[in-house]
Amino acid sequence: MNNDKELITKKELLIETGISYGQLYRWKREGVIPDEWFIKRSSFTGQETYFKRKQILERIEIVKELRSKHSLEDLAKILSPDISEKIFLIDELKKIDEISSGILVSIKEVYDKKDFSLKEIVVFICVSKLQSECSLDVKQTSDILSDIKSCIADINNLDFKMIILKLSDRLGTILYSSDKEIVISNELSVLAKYNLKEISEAVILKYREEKLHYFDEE
Amino acid sequence: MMSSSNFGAGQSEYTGEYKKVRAAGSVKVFDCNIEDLFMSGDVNITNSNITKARVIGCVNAEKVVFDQGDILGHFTSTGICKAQIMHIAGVLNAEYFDAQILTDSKHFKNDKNATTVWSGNIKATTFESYHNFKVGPDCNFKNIINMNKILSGDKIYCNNLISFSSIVTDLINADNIYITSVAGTKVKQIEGEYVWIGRQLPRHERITNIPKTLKNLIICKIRKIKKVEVDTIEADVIDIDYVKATKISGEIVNVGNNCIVDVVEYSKDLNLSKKAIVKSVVKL
Repeated sequence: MNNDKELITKKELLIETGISYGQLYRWKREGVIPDEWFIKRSSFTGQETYFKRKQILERIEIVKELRSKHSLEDLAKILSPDISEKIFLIDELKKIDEISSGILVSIKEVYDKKDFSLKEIVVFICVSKLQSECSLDVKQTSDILSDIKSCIADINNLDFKMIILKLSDRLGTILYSSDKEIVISNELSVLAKYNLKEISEAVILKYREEKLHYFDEE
Repeated sequence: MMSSSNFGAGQSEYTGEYKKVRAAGSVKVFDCNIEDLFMSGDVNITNSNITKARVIGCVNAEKVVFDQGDILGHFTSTGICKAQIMHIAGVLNAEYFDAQILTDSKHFKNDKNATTVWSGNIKATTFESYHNFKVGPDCNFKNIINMNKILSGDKIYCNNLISFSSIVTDLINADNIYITSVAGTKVKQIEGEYVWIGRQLPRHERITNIPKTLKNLIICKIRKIKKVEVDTIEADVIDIDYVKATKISGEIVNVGNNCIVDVVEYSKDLNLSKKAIVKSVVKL
């Protein structure tokens, strides 16, 4: 067993999950398991491949569960979606339970448009959670939406974590790559922390059958 | 009504249905059905179906479906263009080009040292390579048959790879990988379901049935047999001969006469030739 409990070697993974080399590498090729999840490190036999234990075991579980319902190509789109590719229409926001009706006014105010990308949907879900957990008023909700809007403009995937910070009565956002750690000054209090990737996967899996515009085939 | 044949020189335009078009110069083809197009020069084809095209020069195609094409020169495809069989010797720039069988053309010889690099979104069920070819990140080939010269690329991803010539790459990831032991093949990592490396291609249905222009893969001759150099091979079934490798791992592993391997790992079954040189064996 590998000493580092957060990591699992490839051999341990194959034994623990019962999948074969062929399956693992086919899933990698099809984009169901991202290339960057294969962590290479030197070992006494040359080189060993490791994975983040929790992340890879959860992914394999999902793939095994959905494999009979979806093709690998579909699964890759569900699990690693191209976030620039498709849109949700404004009316469909009401069908997403995780977006509270209370923030729709702020969304309309901050985003003056009728269609939204997946990354925006994920942001709305985060802000909905934040609003209910921290009892934000409309102004604070609009301010934080506006702050995040500028923050997410340049990201082209959702492998990020988002932290909402508070300094006296002002709120701010930090977005950082999932594999990085950040240190926050004691002056700032952390209001909430969200994993955008996990939220996006959950949303896609939950609403895939709901006939939302996002899932229309080309 | 279909025109039986048409000849043009200089600047010419075609629309409608034609059995044969022979042209030279600058040609525009739009909303056309042409059974046989043979031309040299610059041709712009839009919204058309071409049964057989042979062009030397520069082709700009937009929303065109070819049954069979043979192009020497520069092929640019915009919108979605499709082909059953397409041979392209030269440059291909594609917004989205999808072929059943695509080749870099055995019909023409190019500069020995030149490497073909195609750009854009290029999709093919089978790609046959006859020249030095670099597989780009947007090339989406289900099957790759490497017939001649050197196939390269940072990563080669496909379902089936069959190689009769040299490959130089960091990574091959495919379900079925068949590599004949030819001088010049160097691969850092090979990963997949089934990996065969040796002299004479086995008669396996999974490769004999793939679409291709070649009648028979089994009789393809190989020259200059030499050990394939690989760092690691990982697959469910590994069947190798003429391989020098650092580490191979699989469920069922067959190591043949002419192999030198530092570490062999297996989980179900191992066959080691007495003449193979293997430093260490690990049962997983």
